[in-house]
Amino acid sequence: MSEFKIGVFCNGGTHVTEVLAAARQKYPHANLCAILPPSFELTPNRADGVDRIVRTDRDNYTVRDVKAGIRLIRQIRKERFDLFVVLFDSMQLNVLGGLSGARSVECWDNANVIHRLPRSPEGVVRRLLVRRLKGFMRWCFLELLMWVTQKKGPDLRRKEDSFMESSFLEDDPSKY
Amino acid sequence: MRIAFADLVFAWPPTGGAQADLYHVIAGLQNAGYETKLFAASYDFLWRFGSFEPEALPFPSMRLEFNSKDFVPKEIVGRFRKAIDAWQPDVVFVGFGRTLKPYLLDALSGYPLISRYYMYEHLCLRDFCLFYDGKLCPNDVFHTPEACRLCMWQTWKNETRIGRLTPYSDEYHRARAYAPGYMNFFVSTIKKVRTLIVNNELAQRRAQAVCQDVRIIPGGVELQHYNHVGWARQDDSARKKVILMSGRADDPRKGLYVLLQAAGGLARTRRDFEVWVTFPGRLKTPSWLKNIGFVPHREVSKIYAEADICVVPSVWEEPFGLVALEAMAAGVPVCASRCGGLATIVEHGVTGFLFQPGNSVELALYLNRLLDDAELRHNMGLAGRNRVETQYTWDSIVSKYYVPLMEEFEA
Repeated sequence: MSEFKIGVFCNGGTHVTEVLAAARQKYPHANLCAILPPSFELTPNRADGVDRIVRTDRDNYTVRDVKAGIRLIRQIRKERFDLFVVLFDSMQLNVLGGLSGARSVECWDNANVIHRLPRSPEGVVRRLLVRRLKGFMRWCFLELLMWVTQKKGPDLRRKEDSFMESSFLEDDPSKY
Repeated sequence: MRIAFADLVFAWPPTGGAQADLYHVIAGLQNAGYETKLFAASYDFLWRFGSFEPEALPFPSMRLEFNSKDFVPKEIVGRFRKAIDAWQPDVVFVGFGRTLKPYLLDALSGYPLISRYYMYEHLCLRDFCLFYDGKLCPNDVFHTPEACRLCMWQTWKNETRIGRLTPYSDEYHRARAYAPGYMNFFVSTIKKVRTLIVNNELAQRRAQAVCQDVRIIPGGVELQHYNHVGWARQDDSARKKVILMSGRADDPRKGLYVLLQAAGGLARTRRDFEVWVTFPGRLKTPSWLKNIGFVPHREVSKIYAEADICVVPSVWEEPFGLVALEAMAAGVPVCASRCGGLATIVEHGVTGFLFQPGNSVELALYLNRLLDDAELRHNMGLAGRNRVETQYTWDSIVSKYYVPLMEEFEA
């Protein structure tokens, strides 16, 4: 039986340490691989339990640079992960998860909170569209509510506008 | 006397200062002979909040379980009310709660209430920072409720539209803080509180508009974490002096640019120092600047052990200024902005220096003076450590502020 392979895409979240530790704890016998941007170093305590480190080409990927994006996806697909873990539930990471070719994709917001993400591109599109549509409808309703209920007035702000209130409380002449 | 503590975002191990503060207050009051019990919400759908094991706490506690469907005002109020009524406390102390907190205060208003505000969450519901357009916001919920309601919506509407809510915006929707009556409801619940506890004079002054008894009670530090730090360190003239800016250096309110301007000026005349910053991202670093990246809180004391001077150049009204306190506990002299809680923590000329917020020239003068004078650094470090030992340990905070407060309630 082949080894269970986990890839954690570490794109700078401050909870990287917790997620790597939790992944090791949850899957003690798995092959744990951290996917890191070039400028990101794992401090010794963070690297505990990580079997392998895969370096990406760049720190940041943009929509304009399609070739770099394709290279990243190829690099991840080549690893054939059983589980692909991302640190945030963002649109970009949803798409990356959907294209990763892993058997399952999860978002670990922290060590305890795990969301299952779709593993196919169609699933990603469906999920993101539904989320957008729900959000847009709620936004329309609230914009309307604000427009209807907003109290009209020339200036809703208070007149006083000091830069720092307490910084002028006590002036110390000896400071210079 | 029985004191019930209610909190909507308690987590242990702590994920923020508010949780550590509540923990030490409960533990301290229990040690002082009061009967205490924590009632806290527990949920795992909002990022990093609301998780703890009652067995891991040194005081009695009750975990009220919620899921993403039932974490709404009606359910929260019902469960907290039922649990607290069953215990029959004499006083209820309400901790951190953000936009859902008014519902809790309203439900528990039958008891004598103490409400603790750790940032400016009683004044600014947008992000509790009272900081807008790069400066102190002149508005607050008590004086301009409608402006604050619109400001909140302006802040959260983009997240709402794309359907990706963060904990703050999720709570905004759960609390229905967009509703026209929410702000009046918020103010009315604060009026029901008998004692309001805040961190600094600004928060106190503005809150006095609606509450008679507003007290400033600072937080504390766990001194044992800093015992191994060489706070009486020997000067080594061959070594480069380390000027440290700890904390969230990537947050524009923390004023990293002020330190960089000051240090840039100093670097033209001297080379015997290095500036260390804890910036989580990438930073273009000149030769005198070193980015040590994000440092977990439990490892912070090791960084202070290396530092000769700590700088807190905040350009906003820092509610408390825990970083300055930690540096003082580690025996490091502090140069801090004269604003918010920092102005009371740092004693100008004794434990460090206070400068006008944003004034990099004044900061450079003080840094120059401290870099030149090893004895001054040493003396200020010792004075800082003494100040923390006498005034800012949790034992002294509880006995100086919380025990007399409870005695007043008892009387």
